[in-house]
Amino acid sequence: MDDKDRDREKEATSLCRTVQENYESAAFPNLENNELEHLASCSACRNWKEDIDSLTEMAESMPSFDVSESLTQKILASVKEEERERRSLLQTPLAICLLSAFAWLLLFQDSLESVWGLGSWLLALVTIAGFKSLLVDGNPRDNLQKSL
Amino acid sequence: MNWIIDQVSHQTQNRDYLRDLSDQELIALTLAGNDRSFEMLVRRHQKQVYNFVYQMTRNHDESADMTQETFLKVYRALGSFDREREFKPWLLRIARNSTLNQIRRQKPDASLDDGEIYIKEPSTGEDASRRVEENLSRAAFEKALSDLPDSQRDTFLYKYHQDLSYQEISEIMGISISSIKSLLFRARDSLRKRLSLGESGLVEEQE
Ligand SMILES: [Zn+2]
Repeated sequence: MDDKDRDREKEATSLCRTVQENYESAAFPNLENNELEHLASCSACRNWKEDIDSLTEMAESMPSFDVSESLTQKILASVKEEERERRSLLQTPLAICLLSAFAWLLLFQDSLESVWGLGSWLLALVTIAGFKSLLVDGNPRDNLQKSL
Repeated sequence: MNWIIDQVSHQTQNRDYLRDLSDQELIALTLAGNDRSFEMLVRRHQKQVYNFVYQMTRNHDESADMTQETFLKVYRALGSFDREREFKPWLLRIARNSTLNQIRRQKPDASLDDGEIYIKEPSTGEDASRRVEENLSRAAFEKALSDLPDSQRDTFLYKYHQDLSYQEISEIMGISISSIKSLLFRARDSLRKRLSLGESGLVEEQE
């Protein structure tokens, strides 16, 4: 914006400004009476309004596209895939825990001489299995889904 | 929200029933594990997301990809969504940020095609555009629009093409309402000048 523009803008009446600001932020009938009168009598504001109306109409009439069912299905499939991955991520560490606990038990079975030692290993396994079923099978989301 | 979950379980997958629920209620159901509620959210907003993204990319293939990515991100982040707020601005903000990132990743000279894979017929009536074309050439308008700085062009289209409120645009772009108004003012002013409109408008009147 050069100095000339700036000077001109300064000179613009405050009513022009008010009318234009109100026109663009509100529906037409919301202008006050004195603003409507000004709009009718001020050629600058009238031209401004015509321009804005043209631009608005032009923007409104730009094409708008419908989404095809194939895209919808693609979106839904990717969401389902995401959900599946999320569940397998949850299940993987648990499976690893169970397997390593079992392997540990097998490898070091010889050193577990007392019944108590074996019993505590079994207790640990049961506990882990219990957590697994809580986290995976006992997920309230799953139960609700089954009930729907 | 529990009552809604209870009610829905009695409605046995009734899509019509879901259609009447608000975005916030659908989100609550999705978080409770009901897939159909997320599908309803997708169907309700996909057209707006697609066209919103298309305004930025002008490319149908990219718009389809970005629409898909947006809903996937939304699904991942749904748990962190504040259900006291409106869903649409949050959704469109995610769409905008994803698209801006995508545009930044691309080469500046990336060609903009008009792939036809996901397009159906434009849903706008012919009459309105024909009427306007008496006064303004669409091509000139689109050229003038594309010459605007991105933030001005986006704001202008969000307001006048997407019909979003100042509040919504402010949330989507993460800037104040007064900044939005200022961007809109500059966008319109530039467009009027570029399209040789406003020859006796506010500024010129004072000469
Ligand atoms: Zn005036």
